[in-house]
Amino acid sequence: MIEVQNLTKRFGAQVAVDDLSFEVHEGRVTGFLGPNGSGKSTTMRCMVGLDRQQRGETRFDGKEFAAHARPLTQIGSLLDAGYVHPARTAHNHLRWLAASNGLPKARVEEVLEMVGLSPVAKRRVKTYSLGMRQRLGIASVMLGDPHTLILDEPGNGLDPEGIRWVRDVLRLFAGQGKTVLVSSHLLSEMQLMANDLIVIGRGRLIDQCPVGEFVRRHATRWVRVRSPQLGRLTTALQGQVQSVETVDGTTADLHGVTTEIVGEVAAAKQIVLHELSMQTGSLEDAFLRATAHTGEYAARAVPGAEAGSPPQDYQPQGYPPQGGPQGSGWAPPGGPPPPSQDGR
Amino acid sequence: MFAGALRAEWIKLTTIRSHFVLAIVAVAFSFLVVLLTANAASDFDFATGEDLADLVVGVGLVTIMLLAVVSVLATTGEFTYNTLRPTFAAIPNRWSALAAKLVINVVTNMVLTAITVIVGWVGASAILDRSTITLSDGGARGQLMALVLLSGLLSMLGMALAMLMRNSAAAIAILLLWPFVVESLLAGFFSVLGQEGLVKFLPYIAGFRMVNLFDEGSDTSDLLSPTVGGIYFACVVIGLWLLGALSTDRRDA
Repeated sequence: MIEVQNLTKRFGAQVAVDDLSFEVHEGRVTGFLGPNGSGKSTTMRCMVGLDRQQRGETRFDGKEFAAHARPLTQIGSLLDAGYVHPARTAHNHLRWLAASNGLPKARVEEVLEMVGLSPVAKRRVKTYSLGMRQRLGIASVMLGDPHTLILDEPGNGLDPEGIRWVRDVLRLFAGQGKTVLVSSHLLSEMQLMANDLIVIGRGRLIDQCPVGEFVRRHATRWVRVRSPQLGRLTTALQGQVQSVETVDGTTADLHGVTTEIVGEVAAAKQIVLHELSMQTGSLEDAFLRATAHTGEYAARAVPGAEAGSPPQDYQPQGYPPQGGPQGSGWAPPGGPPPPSQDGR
Repeated sequence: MFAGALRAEWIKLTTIRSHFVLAIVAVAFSFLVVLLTANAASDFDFATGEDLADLVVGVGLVTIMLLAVVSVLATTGEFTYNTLRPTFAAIPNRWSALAAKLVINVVTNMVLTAITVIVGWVGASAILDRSTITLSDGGARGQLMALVLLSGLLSMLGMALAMLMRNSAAAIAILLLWPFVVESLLAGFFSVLGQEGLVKFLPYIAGFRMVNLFDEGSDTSDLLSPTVGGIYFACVVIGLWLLGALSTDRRDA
Protein backbone atom coordinates (compact mmCIF):
# COMPACT_ATOMS: atom_id res chain seq x y z
CA MET A 1 0.00 0.00 0.00
CA ILE A 2 1.20 3.50 -0.81
CA GLU A 3 0.19 6.45 1.40
CA VAL A 4 0.95 9.95 0.14
CA GLN A 5 0.32 12.63 2.74
CA ASN A 6 0.30 16.41 2.24
CA LEU A 7 2.92 16.30 -0.49
CA THR A 8 3.99 19.80 -1.53
CA LYS A 9 6.62 20.57 -4.12
CA ARG A 10 7.53 24.01 -5.40
CA PHE A 11 9.90 25.08 -8.17
CA GLY A 12 10.67 28.64 -7.14
CA ALA A 13 7.36 30.46 -6.99
CA GLN A 14 5.57 27.78 -9.01
CA VAL A 15 3.65 25.20 -6.96
CA ALA A 16 3.89 21.90 -8.84
CA VAL A 17 2.30 19.67 -6.19
CA ASP A 18 0.00 21.29 -3.67
CA ASP A 19 -0.75 19.49 -0.40
CA LEU A 20 -1.56 16.28 -2.26
CA SER A 21 -2.76 13.24 -0.32
CA PHE A 22 -3.99 9.90 -1.64
CA GLU A 23 -3.72 6.17 -1.11
CA VAL A 24 -2.94 3.38 -3.53
CA HIS A 25 -4.25 -0.03 -2.51
CA GLU A 26 -2.87 -3.50 -2.92
CA GLY A 27 -4.31 -5.85 -5.50
CA ARG A 28 -5.56 -3.04 -7.73
CA VAL A 29 -4.26 -1.12 -10.70
CA THR A 30 -4.57 2.56 -9.85
CA GLY A 31 -4.49 5.02 -12.71
CA PHE A 32 -2.88 8.40 -12.09
CA LEU A 33 -4.43 11.00 -14.37
CA GLY A 34 -4.09 14.70 -14.91
CA PRO A 35 -3.61 17.20 -17.74
CA ASN A 36 -0.13 18.13 -18.94
CA GLY A 37 1.72 20.03 -16.24
CA SER A 38 -0.65 18.88 -13.51
CA GLY A 39 2.22 17.47 -11.42
CA LYS A 40 1.92 13.72 -12.04
CA SER A 41 5.57 13.09 -12.88
CA THR A 42 6.77 15.44 -10.14
CA THR A 43 4.58 13.61 -7.64
CA MET A 44 6.01 10.27 -8.72
CA ARG A 45 9.57 11.57 -8.49
CA CYS A 46 8.90 12.93 -4.99
CA MET A 47 7.37 9.61 -3.97
CA VAL A 48 10.61 7.72 -4.69
CA GLY A 49 12.87 10.43 -3.29
CA LEU A 50 14.26 11.76 -6.56
CA ASP A 51 12.76 15.22 -6.13
CA ARG A 52 13.00 16.86 -2.73
CA GLN A 53 9.56 18.00 -1.62
CA GLN A 54 9.07 20.99 0.68
CA ARG A 55 6.47 19.17 2.76
CA GLY A 56 4.73 15.83 3.16
CA GLU A 57 5.77 12.21 2.96
CA THR A 58 5.18 8.97 1.12
CA ARG A 59 5.05 5.60 2.83
CA PHE A 60 5.34 2.25 1.11
CA ASP A 61 3.88 -0.47 3.32
CA GLY A 62 4.38 1.88 6.26
CA LYS A 63 7.99 2.82 5.52
CA GLU A 64 9.52 5.75 3.65
CA PHE A 65 11.26 4.90 0.39
CA ALA A 66 14.74 5.58 1.79
CA ALA A 67 14.11 3.16 4.66
CA HIS A 68 13.97 0.17 2.32
CA ALA A 69 17.39 -1.49 2.36
CA ARG A 70 17.00 -3.09 -1.09
CA PRO A 71 14.35 -0.89 -2.71
CA LEU A 72 14.31 -2.71 -6.06
CA THR A 73 12.90 -5.76 -4.26
CA GLN A 74 10.12 -3.64 -2.74
CA ILE A 75 9.37 -0.77 -5.13
CA GLY A 76 9.94 -0.84 -8.87
CA SER A 77 9.70 2.53 -10.59
CA LEU A 78 9.76 3.45 -14.25
CA LEU A 79 9.63 7.22 -14.50
CA ASP A 80 11.21 7.65 -17.93
CA ALA A 81 12.49 5.03 -20.34
CA GLY A 82 15.23 7.44 -21.35
CA TYR A 83 17.12 7.14 -18.05
CA VAL A 84 19.74 4.85 -19.62
CA HIS A 85 23.27 5.62 -20.82
CA PRO A 86 22.99 5.27 -24.61
CA ALA A 87 26.46 3.75 -24.92
CA ARG A 88 25.68 0.95 -22.48
CA THR A 89 24.01 -2.30 -23.53
CA ALA A 90 20.63 -3.28 -22.11
CA HIS A 91 22.26 -6.30 -20.49
CA ASN A 92 24.87 -4.17 -18.73
CA HIS A 93 22.27 -1.60 -17.69
CA LEU A 94 20.30 -4.30 -15.92
CA ARG A 95 23.50 -5.87 -14.56
CA TRP A 96 24.47 -2.74 -12.62
CA LEU A 97 20.94 -2.30 -11.35
CA ALA A 98 20.86 -5.92 -10.18
CA ALA A 99 24.28 -5.62 -8.55
CA SER A 100 23.24 -2.50 -6.63
CA ASN A 101 20.58 -4.48 -4.79
CA GLY A 102 22.37 -7.81 -4.56
CA LEU A 103 20.17 -9.53 -7.15
CA PRO A 104 21.54 -12.58 -9.01
CA LYS A 105 22.79 -12.19 -12.59
CA ALA A 106 20.35 -14.89 -13.69
CA ARG A 107 17.51 -12.52 -12.91
CA VAL A 108 18.80 -10.16 -15.63
CA GLU A 109 18.42 -12.90 -18.25
CA GLU A 110 14.96 -13.74 -16.91
CA VAL A 111 13.55 -10.22 -17.19
CA LEU A 112 15.14 -9.68 -20.61
CA GLU A 113 13.38 -12.85 -21.73
CA MET A 114 10.11 -11.64 -20.20
CA VAL A 115 10.13 -8.35 -22.12
CA GLY A 116 11.36 -9.95 -25.33
CA LEU A 117 14.72 -8.14 -25.50
CA SER A 118 17.01 -11.17 -25.14
CA PRO A 119 18.05 -11.23 -28.83
CA VAL A 120 19.16 -7.57 -28.69
CA ALA A 121 20.36 -7.43 -25.08
CA LYS A 122 24.01 -7.02 -26.08
CA ARG A 123 23.27 -4.06 -28.37
CA ARG A 124 23.90 -0.55 -27.14
CA VAL A 125 20.76 1.26 -26.05
CA LYS A 126 21.33 4.13 -28.50
CA THR A 127 20.33 1.72 -31.29
CA TYR A 128 16.97 1.00 -29.61
CA SER A 129 13.62 2.37 -30.66
CA LEU A 130 11.47 4.17 -28.08
CA GLY A 131 9.38 1.03 -27.72
CA MET A 132 12.46 -1.11 -27.02
CA ARG A 133 13.64 1.40 -24.41
CA GLN A 134 10.22 1.25 -22.81
CA ARG A 135 10.49 -2.55 -22.62
CA LEU A 136 13.93 -2.18 -21.07
CA GLY A 137 12.45 0.19 -18.49
CA ILE A 138 9.76 -2.33 -17.68
CA ALA A 139 12.44 -5.03 -17.36
CA SER A 140 14.25 -2.85 -14.81
CA VAL A 141 11.02 -2.48 -12.83
CA MET A 142 10.50 -6.24 -12.78
CA LEU A 143 14.12 -6.96 -11.88
CA GLY A 144 13.63 -7.21 -8.12
CA ASP A 145 10.10 -8.70 -8.36
CA PRO A 146 8.84 -5.78 -6.24
CA HIS A 147 5.57 -5.63 -4.33
CA THR A 148 4.87 -2.06 -5.47
CA LEU A 149 5.15 -0.71 -9.01
CA ILE A 150 5.13 2.93 -10.08
CA LEU A 151 5.08 3.58 -13.80
CA ASP A 152 4.90 6.91 -15.60
CA GLU A 153 3.44 6.52 -19.09
CA PRO A 154 4.65 2.94 -19.63
CA GLY A 155 2.78 2.70 -22.93
CA ASN A 156 4.72 5.55 -24.58
CA GLY A 157 6.24 4.41 -27.84
CA LEU A 158 4.80 0.91 -27.66
CA ASP A 159 2.85 -0.61 -30.53
CA PRO A 160 -0.70 -1.93 -29.87
CA GLU A 161 0.65 -5.36 -29.03
CA GLY A 162 3.12 -3.84 -26.57
CA ILE A 163 0.42 -1.71 -24.96
CA ARG A 164 -1.77 -4.75 -24.54
CA TRP A 165 1.18 -6.64 -23.07
CA VAL A 166 1.79 -3.88 -20.50
CA ARG A 167 -1.89 -3.89 -19.60
CA ASP A 168 -1.91 -7.67 -19.15
CA VAL A 169 1.28 -7.59 -17.08
CA LEU A 170 0.02 -4.85 -14.77
CA ARG A 171 -3.34 -6.55 -14.28
CA LEU A 172 -1.52 -9.81 -13.58
CA PHE A 173 0.63 -8.06 -10.95
CA ALA A 174 -2.43 -6.55 -9.34
CA GLY A 175 -4.04 -9.99 -9.40
CA GLN A 176 -1.04 -11.27 -7.45
CA GLY A 177 -1.78 -8.73 -4.74
CA LYS A 178 0.82 -6.16 -5.78
CA THR A 179 0.25 -2.42 -5.60
CA VAL A 180 0.31 -0.79 -9.05
CA LEU A 181 0.27 2.97 -9.71
CA VAL A 182 0.39 3.90 -13.38
CA SER A 183 -0.01 7.19 -15.20
CA SER A 184 -1.07 7.35 -18.82
CA HIS A 185 -2.55 9.73 -21.32
CA LEU A 186 -4.23 6.82 -23.10
CA LEU A 187 -7.61 7.10 -21.42
CA SER A 188 -9.14 4.23 -23.37
CA GLU A 189 -6.26 2.09 -22.16
CA MET A 190 -6.72 3.31 -18.61
CA GLN A 191 -10.40 2.43 -18.82
CA LEU A 192 -9.44 -1.14 -19.70
CA MET A 193 -6.58 -1.44 -17.23
CA ALA A 194 -7.30 0.51 -14.06
CA ASN A 195 -9.53 -0.41 -11.14
CA ASP A 196 -9.14 2.91 -9.34
CA LEU A 197 -8.28 6.43 -10.42
CA ILE A 198 -6.45 9.32 -8.84
CA VAL A 199 -7.07 12.50 -10.83
CA ILE A 200 -5.10 15.65 -10.17
CA GLY A 201 -5.07 19.13 -11.63
CA ARG A 202 -2.58 21.90 -10.87
CA GLY A 203 -0.97 19.64 -8.31
CA ARG A 204 -4.16 19.18 -6.29
CA LEU A 205 -6.39 16.18 -5.90
CA ILE A 206 -9.56 16.37 -7.98
CA ASP A 207 -10.93 12.95 -7.24
CA GLN A 208 -9.97 9.48 -6.09
CA CYS A 209 -12.37 6.59 -6.63
CA PRO A 210 -13.00 3.46 -8.72
CA VAL A 211 -13.10 4.10 -12.47
CA GLY A 212 -16.83 3.42 -12.82
CA GLU A 213 -17.60 5.77 -9.97
CA PHE A 214 -15.43 8.50 -11.51
CA VAL A 215 -17.29 8.22 -14.80
CA ARG A 216 -20.64 8.32 -13.04
CA ARG A 217 -19.62 11.40 -11.07
CA HIS A 218 -18.12 13.45 -13.87
CA ALA A 219 -19.25 12.24 -17.30
CA THR A 220 -22.24 13.61 -19.19
CA ARG A 221 -25.43 11.61 -18.53
CA TRP A 222 -28.53 11.59 -20.68
CA VAL A 223 -31.63 9.54 -21.31
CA ARG A 224 -31.98 7.60 -24.54
CA VAL A 225 -35.50 6.97 -25.63
CA ARG A 226 -36.80 4.99 -28.60
CA SER A 227 -40.43 5.20 -29.46
CA PRO A 228 -42.62 4.95 -32.61
CA GLN A 229 -44.39 8.07 -31.21
CA LEU A 230 -41.24 10.11 -30.63
CA GLY A 231 -42.81 13.41 -31.73
CA ARG A 232 -45.65 13.09 -29.18
CA LEU A 233 -43.23 12.16 -26.45
CA THR A 234 -40.86 15.11 -26.98
CA THR A 235 -43.83 17.47 -27.14
CA ALA A 236 -45.15 16.06 -23.86
CA LEU A 237 -41.74 16.50 -22.23
CA GLN A 238 -41.39 20.16 -23.19
CA GLY A 239 -40.43 22.21 -20.17
CA GLN A 240 -38.96 19.19 -18.38
CA VAL A 241 -36.01 18.56 -20.73
CA GLN A 242 -32.93 20.77 -21.20
CA SER A 243 -32.29 19.67 -24.77
CA VAL A 244 -33.28 17.00 -27.25
CA GLU A 245 -30.89 15.45 -29.77
CA THR A 246 -32.67 13.40 -32.38
CA VAL A 247 -30.67 10.33 -33.38
CA ASP A 248 -33.08 9.02 -36.02
CA GLY A 249 -36.80 8.98 -36.67
CA THR A 250 -37.60 6.91 -33.58
CA THR A 251 -34.66 7.60 -31.25
CA ALA A 252 -33.61 10.68 -29.31
CA ASP A 253 -31.19 11.63 -26.53
CA LEU A 254 -32.76 13.74 -23.80
CA HIS A 255 -30.57 15.90 -21.58
CA GLY A 256 -31.48 17.28 -18.18
CA VAL A 257 -34.15 14.75 -17.37
CA THR A 258 -34.35 11.40 -15.55
CA THR A 259 -35.63 8.06 -16.79
CA GLU A 260 -38.33 8.21 -14.10
CA ILE A 261 -39.81 11.45 -15.45
CA VAL A 262 -39.69 10.23 -19.06
CA GLY A 263 -41.31 6.91 -18.05
CA GLU A 264 -44.06 8.60 -16.04
CA VAL A 265 -44.86 11.09 -18.82
CA ALA A 266 -44.93 8.29 -21.41
CA ALA A 267 -47.25 6.22 -19.21
CA ALA A 268 -49.54 9.19 -18.55
CA LYS A 269 -49.81 9.93 -22.30
CA GLN A 270 -50.02 6.21 -23.20
CA ILE A 271 -46.95 6.47 -25.45
CA VAL A 272 -45.29 3.19 -26.42
CA LEU A 273 -41.57 2.98 -25.50
CA HIS A 274 -39.17 0.52 -27.12
CA GLU A 275 -36.17 1.78 -25.14
CA LEU A 276 -35.67 3.94 -22.09
CA SER A 277 -32.16 3.95 -20.68
CA MET A 278 -29.68 6.18 -18.85
CA GLN A 279 -26.52 6.73 -20.92
CA THR A 280 -23.14 7.75 -19.50
CA GLY A 281 -20.17 9.29 -21.31
CA SER A 282 -16.76 7.64 -21.55
CA LEU A 283 -13.81 8.01 -19.20
CA GLU A 284 -12.38 10.55 -21.64
CA ASP A 285 -15.56 12.60 -21.36
CA ALA A 286 -15.45 12.37 -17.56
CA PHE A 287 -11.75 13.27 -17.46
CA LEU A 288 -12.16 16.29 -19.73
CA ARG A 289 -15.06 17.56 -17.64
CA ALA A 290 -13.31 16.91 -14.31
CA THR A 291 -10.14 18.68 -15.40
CA ALA A 292 -11.78 21.31 -17.58
CA HIS A 293 -10.41 24.30 -15.69
CA THR A 294 -7.10 22.87 -14.54
CA GLY A 295 -5.08 22.49 -17.74
CA GLU A 296 -1.96 24.62 -17.70
CA TYR A 297 -1.43 24.66 -21.46
CA ALA A 298 -4.84 24.34 -23.08
CA ALA A 299 -5.11 24.43 -26.86
CA ARG A 300 -7.75 26.47 -28.62
CA ALA A 301 -10.90 24.65 -29.57
CA VAL A 302 -11.03 23.13 -33.02
CA PRO A 303 -13.69 25.05 -35.02
CA GLY A 304 -16.86 23.05 -35.42
CA ALA A 305 -15.93 20.55 -32.72
CA GLU A 306 -17.33 22.32 -29.68
CA ALA A 307 -19.80 19.52 -29.04
CA GLY A 308 -17.20 17.47 -27.20
CA SER A 309 -15.95 20.29 -24.99
CA PRO A 310 -16.89 20.29 -21.37
CA PRO A 311 -19.27 23.07 -20.42
CA GLN A 312 -17.56 26.19 -19.11
CA ASP A 313 -19.72 26.27 -16.02
CA TYR A 314 -18.97 22.67 -15.03
CA GLN A 315 -17.15 22.42 -11.74
CA PRO A 316 -16.05 18.96 -10.62
CA GLN A 317 -16.95 17.79 -7.14
CA GLY A 318 -14.31 18.33 -4.52
CA TYR A 319 -12.28 20.75 -6.61
CA PRO A 320 -11.98 24.28 -5.28
CA PRO A 321 -12.53 27.24 -7.62
CA GLN A 322 -9.34 28.50 -9.25
CA GLY A 323 -10.47 31.92 -10.36
CA GLY A 324 -12.63 30.99 -13.33
CA PRO A 325 -12.19 29.04 -16.54
CA GLN A 326 -8.76 28.85 -18.16
CA GLY A 327 -8.64 28.67 -21.95
CA SER A 328 -11.28 27.00 -23.99
CA GLY A 329 -10.15 23.40 -23.74
CA TRP A 330 -9.70 20.98 -26.57
CA ALA A 331 -12.48 19.12 -28.26
CA PRO A 332 -12.00 16.11 -30.52
CA PRO A 333 -13.32 16.61 -34.05
CA GLY A 334 -16.49 14.71 -34.83
CA GLY A 335 -18.57 15.41 -31.76
CA PRO A 336 -18.82 13.63 -28.42
CA PRO A 337 -17.26 10.24 -27.77
CA PRO A 338 -19.44 7.15 -28.13
CA PRO A 339 -21.42 6.42 -24.99
CA SER A 340 -20.97 3.38 -22.82
CA GLN A 341 -23.40 1.86 -20.40
CA ASP A 342 -21.43 2.04 -17.17
CA GLY A 343 -18.22 3.79 -17.91
CA ARG A 344 -16.07 0.62 -17.82
CA MET B 1 24.35 -2.34 0.65
CA PHE B 2 27.62 -0.43 0.12
CA ALA B 3 29.19 -3.56 -1.40
CA GLY B 4 26.32 -3.64 -3.90
CA ALA B 5 26.83 0.04 -4.67
CA LEU B 6 30.53 -0.62 -5.31
CA ARG B 7 29.73 -3.51 -7.67
CA ALA B 8 27.19 -1.35 -9.50
CA GLU B 9 29.68 1.50 -9.93
CA TRP B 10 32.36 -0.87 -11.16
CA ILE B 11 29.99 -2.23 -13.83
CA LYS B 12 28.99 1.32 -14.78
CA LEU B 13 32.62 2.45 -15.15
CA THR B 14 33.74 -0.55 -17.16
CA THR B 15 30.80 -0.86 -19.55
CA ILE B 16 31.27 2.42 -21.42
CA ARG B 17 33.67 2.10 -24.34
CA SER B 18 34.89 5.72 -24.23
CA HIS B 19 36.09 5.22 -20.65
CA PHE B 20 38.17 2.25 -21.78
CA VAL B 21 39.60 4.03 -24.82
CA LEU B 22 40.62 7.10 -22.83
CA ALA B 23 42.19 5.01 -20.06
CA ILE B 24 44.17 2.93 -22.57
CA VAL B 25 45.35 6.09 -24.36
CA ALA B 26 46.40 7.59 -21.02
CA VAL B 27 48.41 4.55 -19.94
CA ALA B 28 49.88 3.78 -23.37
CA PHE B 29 50.95 7.40 -23.93
CA SER B 30 53.01 7.45 -20.75
CA PHE B 31 54.49 4.01 -21.32
CA LEU B 32 55.54 4.76 -24.93
CA VAL B 33 57.01 8.21 -24.21
CA VAL B 34 59.05 6.88 -21.27
CA LEU B 35 60.39 3.95 -23.30
CA LEU B 36 61.16 6.07 -26.39
CA THR B 37 62.92 8.69 -24.27
CA ALA B 38 64.96 6.01 -22.50
CA ASN B 39 65.84 4.46 -25.84
CA ALA B 40 67.03 7.79 -27.23
CA ALA B 41 68.95 8.77 -24.10
CA SER B 42 72.71 9.39 -24.27
CA ASP B 43 75.22 8.17 -21.72
CA PHE B 44 74.91 11.45 -19.84
CA ASP B 45 71.15 11.30 -19.37
CA PHE B 46 69.44 9.41 -16.57
CA ALA B 47 72.50 8.75 -14.49
CA THR B 48 70.46 8.04 -11.37
CA GLY B 49 67.08 6.74 -10.28
CA GLU B 50 66.06 10.28 -9.41
CA ASP B 51 66.56 11.30 -13.08
CA LEU B 52 64.39 8.45 -14.30
CA ALA B 53 61.73 9.20 -11.66
CA ASP B 54 61.55 12.78 -12.96
CA LEU B 55 60.88 11.45 -16.45
CA VAL B 56 58.24 8.94 -15.31
CA VAL B 57 56.51 11.55 -13.15
CA GLY B 58 56.70 14.31 -15.78
CA VAL B 59 55.08 12.13 -18.44
CA GLY B 60 52.81 10.52 -15.86
CA LEU B 61 51.22 13.88 -15.12
CA VAL B 62 49.61 13.74 -18.57
CA THR B 63 48.37 10.24 -17.78
CA ILE B 64 46.77 11.19 -14.49
CA MET B 65 45.10 14.24 -16.06
CA LEU B 66 43.57 12.03 -18.76
CA LEU B 67 42.47 9.49 -16.12
CA ALA B 68 40.85 12.35 -14.19
CA VAL B 69 38.93 13.19 -17.38
CA VAL B 70 37.54 9.62 -17.28
CA SER B 71 36.32 10.33 -13.74
CA VAL B 72 34.69 13.54 -14.96
CA LEU B 73 32.93 11.70 -17.80
CA ALA B 74 31.83 8.87 -15.51
CA THR B 75 30.15 11.45 -13.27
CA THR B 76 28.76 13.98 -15.74
CA GLY B 77 27.34 11.08 -17.77
CA GLU B 78 25.01 10.43 -14.83
CA PHE B 79 23.61 13.95 -15.13
CA THR B 80 23.63 14.15 -18.93
CA TYR B 81 21.73 10.90 -19.41
CA ASN B 82 19.75 11.11 -16.16
CA THR B 83 21.13 7.77 -14.96
CA LEU B 84 21.50 9.41 -11.57
CA ARG B 85 17.75 8.86 -11.17
CA PRO B 86 17.74 5.06 -11.49
CA THR B 87 20.91 5.09 -9.38
CA PHE B 88 19.19 6.91 -6.51
CA ALA B 89 16.03 4.84 -7.00
CA ALA B 90 18.18 1.74 -6.47
CA ILE B 91 20.38 3.25 -3.74
CA PRO B 92 18.26 5.85 -1.89
CA ASN B 93 21.14 6.85 0.38
CA ARG B 94 22.74 9.34 -2.01
CA TRP B 95 25.91 9.71 0.03
CA SER B 96 26.40 5.96 -0.17
CA ALA B 97 25.97 5.96 -3.96
CA LEU B 98 28.33 8.92 -4.40
CA ALA B 99 30.91 7.44 -2.04
CA ALA B 100 30.84 4.16 -3.99
CA LYS B 101 31.44 6.06 -7.23
CA LEU B 102 34.31 7.94 -5.56
CA VAL B 103 35.99 4.79 -4.26
CA ILE B 104 35.72 2.95 -7.58
CA ASN B 105 37.03 5.86 -9.67
CA VAL B 106 39.84 6.85 -7.31
CA VAL B 107 41.05 3.29 -6.74
CA THR B 108 40.86 2.45 -10.46
CA ASN B 109 42.86 5.55 -11.40
CA MET B 110 45.45 4.90 -8.69
CA VAL B 111 45.87 1.27 -9.81
CA LEU B 112 46.21 2.30 -13.47
CA THR B 113 48.74 4.99 -12.50
CA ALA B 114 50.69 2.49 -10.41
CA ILE B 115 50.76 0.06 -13.35
CA THR B 116 51.93 2.88 -15.65
CA VAL B 117 54.66 3.87 -13.22
CA ILE B 118 55.87 0.31 -12.59
CA VAL B 119 55.85 -0.73 -16.24
CA GLY B 120 57.50 2.56 -17.32
CA TRP B 121 60.19 2.30 -14.65
CA VAL B 122 60.94 -1.39 -15.27
CA GLY B 123 60.93 -0.95 -19.07
CA ALA B 124 63.11 2.17 -19.04
CA SER B 125 65.52 0.58 -16.54
CA ALA B 126 65.88 -2.45 -18.78
CA ILE B 127 66.57 -0.27 -21.85
CA LEU B 128 69.04 1.99 -20.02
CA ASP B 129 70.65 -1.06 -18.37
CA ARG B 130 72.54 0.95 -15.77
CA SER B 131 73.33 -0.38 -12.34
CA THR B 132 73.38 3.20 -11.03
CA ILE B 133 69.60 3.51 -11.39
CA THR B 134 67.81 2.27 -8.28
CA LEU B 135 64.53 3.14 -6.57
CA SER B 136 66.44 4.12 -3.47
CA ASP B 137 68.14 7.01 -5.31
CA GLY B 138 67.19 10.29 -3.65
CA GLY B 139 63.44 10.54 -3.38
CA ALA B 140 62.66 8.36 -6.44
CA ARG B 141 60.41 5.89 -4.63
CA GLY B 142 58.56 8.63 -2.76
CA GLN B 143 58.16 10.68 -5.93
CA LEU B 144 56.62 7.76 -7.82
CA MET B 145 54.30 6.92 -4.92
CA ALA B 146 53.27 10.57 -4.72
CA LEU B 147 52.26 10.46 -8.39
CA VAL B 148 49.90 7.55 -7.61
CA LEU B 149 48.44 9.51 -4.71
CA LEU B 150 48.11 12.65 -6.85
CA SER B 151 46.25 10.58 -9.45
CA GLY B 152 43.67 9.63 -6.81
CA LEU B 153 43.26 13.26 -5.77
CA LEU B 154 42.88 14.46 -9.36
CA SER B 155 40.24 11.79 -9.94
CA MET B 156 38.39 13.09 -6.88
CA LEU B 157 38.78 16.66 -8.10
CA GLY B 158 37.36 15.69 -11.50
CA MET B 159 34.33 14.15 -9.82
CA ALA B 160 33.89 17.20 -7.58
CA LEU B 161 33.93 19.55 -10.59
CA ALA B 162 31.56 17.21 -12.44
CA MET B 163 29.05 17.29 -9.57
CA LEU B 164 29.27 21.07 -9.30
CA MET B 165 29.18 21.77 -13.07
CA ARG B 166 26.95 18.85 -14.17
CA ASN B 167 28.40 19.33 -17.63
CA SER B 168 31.31 17.46 -19.23
CA ALA B 169 32.75 20.32 -21.28
CA ALA B 170 32.70 22.79 -18.38
CA ALA B 171 34.15 20.34 -15.84
CA ILE B 172 36.93 19.14 -18.18
CA ALA B 173 37.77 22.72 -19.18
CA ILE B 174 38.17 23.75 -15.56
CA LEU B 175 40.12 20.61 -14.68
CA LEU B 176 42.64 21.16 -17.48
CA LEU B 177 42.73 24.96 -17.77
CA TRP B 178 42.96 25.59 -14.05
CA PRO B 179 46.60 24.43 -13.67
CA PHE B 180 47.91 25.54 -17.05
CA VAL B 181 46.13 28.85 -17.55
CA VAL B 182 44.26 30.09 -14.49
CA GLU B 183 46.98 29.45 -11.92
CA SER B 184 49.69 30.85 -14.24
CA LEU B 185 47.67 34.01 -14.68
CA LEU B 186 46.97 34.25 -10.96
CA ALA B 187 50.64 33.67 -10.12
CA GLY B 188 51.59 36.53 -12.47
CA PHE B 189 48.86 38.71 -10.99
CA PHE B 190 50.10 38.06 -7.45
CA SER B 191 53.66 38.93 -8.53
CA VAL B 192 52.51 42.21 -10.02
CA LEU B 193 50.76 43.02 -6.75
CA GLY B 194 53.88 42.06 -4.82
CA GLN B 195 52.04 39.21 -3.15
CA GLU B 196 54.31 36.33 -4.23
CA GLY B 197 53.62 34.65 -0.91
CA LEU B 198 50.12 33.78 -2.09
CA VAL B 199 51.36 31.73 -5.06
CA LYS B 200 52.14 28.73 -2.87
CA PHE B 201 48.46 28.52 -1.92
CA LEU B 202 47.26 28.03 -5.49
CA PRO B 203 45.88 24.48 -5.31
CA TYR B 204 47.57 22.86 -8.32
CA ILE B 205 50.94 24.46 -7.56
CA ALA B 206 50.66 23.10 -4.03
CA GLY B 207 49.45 19.70 -5.30
CA PHE B 208 52.23 19.34 -7.88
CA ARG B 209 54.75 19.91 -5.07
CA MET B 210 53.87 16.34 -4.02
CA VAL B 211 55.89 15.04 -6.96
CA ASN B 212 58.74 17.59 -6.56
CA LEU B 213 57.89 19.05 -9.95
CA PHE B 214 59.53 22.40 -9.29
CA ASP B 215 62.69 21.19 -7.55
CA GLU B 216 64.88 20.83 -10.63
CA GLY B 217 66.92 23.99 -10.99
CA SER B 218 64.30 26.30 -9.53
CA ASP B 219 63.90 28.19 -6.30
CA THR B 220 61.28 26.40 -4.23
CA SER B 221 61.85 28.33 -1.01
CA ASP B 222 58.59 30.27 -1.48
CA LEU B 223 56.55 27.12 -2.08
CA LEU B 224 55.04 24.67 0.37
CA SER B 225 57.00 21.51 1.11
CA PRO B 226 55.88 18.38 -0.83
CA THR B 227 54.11 16.97 2.25
CA VAL B 228 52.39 20.19 3.28
CA GLY B 229 51.54 20.97 -0.36
CA GLY B 230 49.99 17.52 -0.76
CA ILE B 231 47.94 17.87 2.43
CA TYR B 232 46.79 21.35 1.39
CA PHE B 233 45.78 20.14 -2.08
CA ALA B 234 43.99 17.11 -0.57
CA CYS B 235 42.02 19.43 1.74
CA VAL B 236 40.96 21.61 -1.20
CA VAL B 237 39.92 18.54 -3.24
CA ILE B 238 38.03 16.91 -0.36
CA GLY B 239 36.30 20.22 0.36
CA LEU B 240 35.20 20.58 -3.26
CA TRP B 241 34.00 16.96 -3.38
CA LEU B 242 31.96 17.43 -0.20
CA LEU B 243 30.47 20.58 -1.70
CA GLY B 244 29.57 18.72 -4.90
CA ALA B 245 28.12 15.77 -2.98
CA LEU B 246 26.13 18.08 -0.73
CA SER B 247 24.73 19.88 -3.77
CA THR B 248 23.83 16.53 -5.39
CA ASP B 249 22.23 15.31 -2.18
CA ARG B 250 20.09 18.40 -1.68
CA ARG B 251 19.03 19.10 -5.25
CA ASP B 252 16.42 17.22 -7.24
CA ALA B 253 18.01 14.28 -9.05
